[in-house]
Amino acid sequence: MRLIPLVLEILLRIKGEISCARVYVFGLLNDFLFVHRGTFNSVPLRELSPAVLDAIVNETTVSSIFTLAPGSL
Amino acid sequence: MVIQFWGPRLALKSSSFISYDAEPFLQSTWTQNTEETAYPPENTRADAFLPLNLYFAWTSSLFDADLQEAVRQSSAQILAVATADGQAGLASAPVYPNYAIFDTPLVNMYGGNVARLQALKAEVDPEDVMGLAGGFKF
Repeated sequence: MRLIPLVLEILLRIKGEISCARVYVFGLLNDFLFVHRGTFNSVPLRELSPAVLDAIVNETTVSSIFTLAPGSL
Repeated sequence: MVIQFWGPRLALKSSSFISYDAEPFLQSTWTQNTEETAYPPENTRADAFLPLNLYFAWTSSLFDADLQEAVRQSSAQILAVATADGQAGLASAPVYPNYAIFDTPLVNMYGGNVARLQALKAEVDPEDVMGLAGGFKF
């Protein structure tokens, strides 16, 4: 409950900035309120081929890979 | 050799995380109904492109332009690799609207449906109430 005023304050501070894929307020992770700015972008693919996977690895610093089971979303 | 490109570069620009999320769509995804839909455009329903989602996050507004440019460059790089790998038609494939960057042209997502969607929008929302919200504007 004590976090509700904080969430409201953050929402007030970013009001006016909320447009598509500009600012996100993430949910609570235990007692940690995770707030950040963010953007998406999408690349249409026909398949996640080994070459594409290599390209993704080369683009970033891979710290973890999550695999979600079918139907888990 | 693993280059690991954006992680170290963007850490200096308040980046908190970057992720690349692959969602394999079944090839039958767009064949489940026979009614017209806004997305994907009619002439692309036979191809279920999977919408690889790039997601870059940061904390300081000072770096908005840097991070947005980074996600564009990274997308272009993956598109180039996939095309060189033999995946045809990606450059003209409809971009998945939920993950498209904020200034993506409507035609890049909805193709030939844009004019009809704009007409529908004008009909059901003549006072542009939806213009008060985020999202793509018709």
